[in-house]
Amino acid sequence: MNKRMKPEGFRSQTLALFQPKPGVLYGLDATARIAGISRRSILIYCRAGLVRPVIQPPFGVMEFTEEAIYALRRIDHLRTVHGLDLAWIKTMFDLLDEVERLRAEVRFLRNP
Amino acid sequence: MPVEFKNYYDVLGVAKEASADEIKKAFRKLARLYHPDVAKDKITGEKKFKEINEAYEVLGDPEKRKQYDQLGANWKHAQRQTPPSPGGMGGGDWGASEVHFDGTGFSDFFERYFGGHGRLSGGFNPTWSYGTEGEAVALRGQDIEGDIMVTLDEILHGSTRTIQLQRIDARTGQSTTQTLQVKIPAGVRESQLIRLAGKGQEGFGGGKPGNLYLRVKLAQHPDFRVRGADLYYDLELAPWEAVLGATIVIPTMDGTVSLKVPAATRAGRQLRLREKGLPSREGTRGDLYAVVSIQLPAQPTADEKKLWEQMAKKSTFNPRKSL
Repeated sequence: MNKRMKPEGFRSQTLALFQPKPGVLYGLDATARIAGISRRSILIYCRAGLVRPVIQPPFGVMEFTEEAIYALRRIDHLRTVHGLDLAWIKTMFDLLDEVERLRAEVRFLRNP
Repeated sequence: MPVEFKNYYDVLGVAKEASADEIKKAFRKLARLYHPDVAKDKITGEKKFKEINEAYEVLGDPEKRKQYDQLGANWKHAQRQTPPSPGGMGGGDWGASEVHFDGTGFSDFFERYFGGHGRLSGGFNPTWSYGTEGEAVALRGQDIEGDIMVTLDEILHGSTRTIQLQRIDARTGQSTTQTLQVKIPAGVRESQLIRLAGKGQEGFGGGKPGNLYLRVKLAQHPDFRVRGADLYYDLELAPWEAVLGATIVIPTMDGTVSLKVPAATRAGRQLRLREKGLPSREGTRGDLYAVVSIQLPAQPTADEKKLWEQMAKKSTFNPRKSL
């Protein structure tokens, strides 16, 4: 934040380094812990086709990406707070993906 | 907290009535001038480059530009309403604090009105966790979302960014600033998420804090367009260069190279420069494509005109033969 905002109420300043590792995969337990969602709910969302683990049985144990964890948080929020059903969420996600893809294409075609 | 209105037209140095083409040209000119790779003063250059990029992100998109113009006309009114704070959080009712970012490359103004398009605003409400006896024991904090502007150079080499996170407690009005260092790994992609665990809103009743998500937004480069790990460069040729072939020096991310344009190169043809693109997740590098377009002199001289006339007389070429 810029300087003029700092002085009042300024309490602490710590320096923490975050080193995200792209391409890391998380098992079902770790995913449940990070997303704060039960394993059972995750399995339900997978079965509904809302998220897809990178690897799944019979080829190995379930493994999820960072994006999938983010998606799980969104799904859970829409379902538990806004009461949307899974079919609705699926349709919405599909449409948003399509919009995002088209937007990227338009941006590519339009820009310098 | 009030957000300052950003005059994007001033940033790009164009008139409010400027055409889309004028805006594009102004952006390219300024972006070349302030690009972190070429600017003399790197720190000011980078700041300015990101400012220009933010302005172009809005003005270069007709939809966003329209929205921006309307916002400008109704700014006093818009300010009085309390839109969601940056990060997409609306849930003041949970006692969540207001969050501002600095160092992401985007201003609060952008985050509030133009950030986070194309996805659901990240306002995840806290998650209740239940203890073994079934009573609610903890409330997990909300996630916060923000955009982070990343240049192509950062994608190529990776970088470490310093981000300041200012939280203003909704109840006490007290602000805390936290400085975080975030490593941007080489090879990140547009829209990729960087999760900063535990840096979201605080939890309640012993609940864990939420996460802070930074979403990668690529800064526009004055020369290259990006598709996946591949870069595209618009190579403008004179008609005779396209017909006779030529050797042309073009920029790449690793310095300039001379590209041999073969004779009889048609407009739209893509000449590939292997592994001159961006790093991909698999550790390989994408390619650079030079896309040929043929430009004509705007006002041919009398001599040039004579030569074209001669060619028109002598040539048997007819592009519409099949009609």
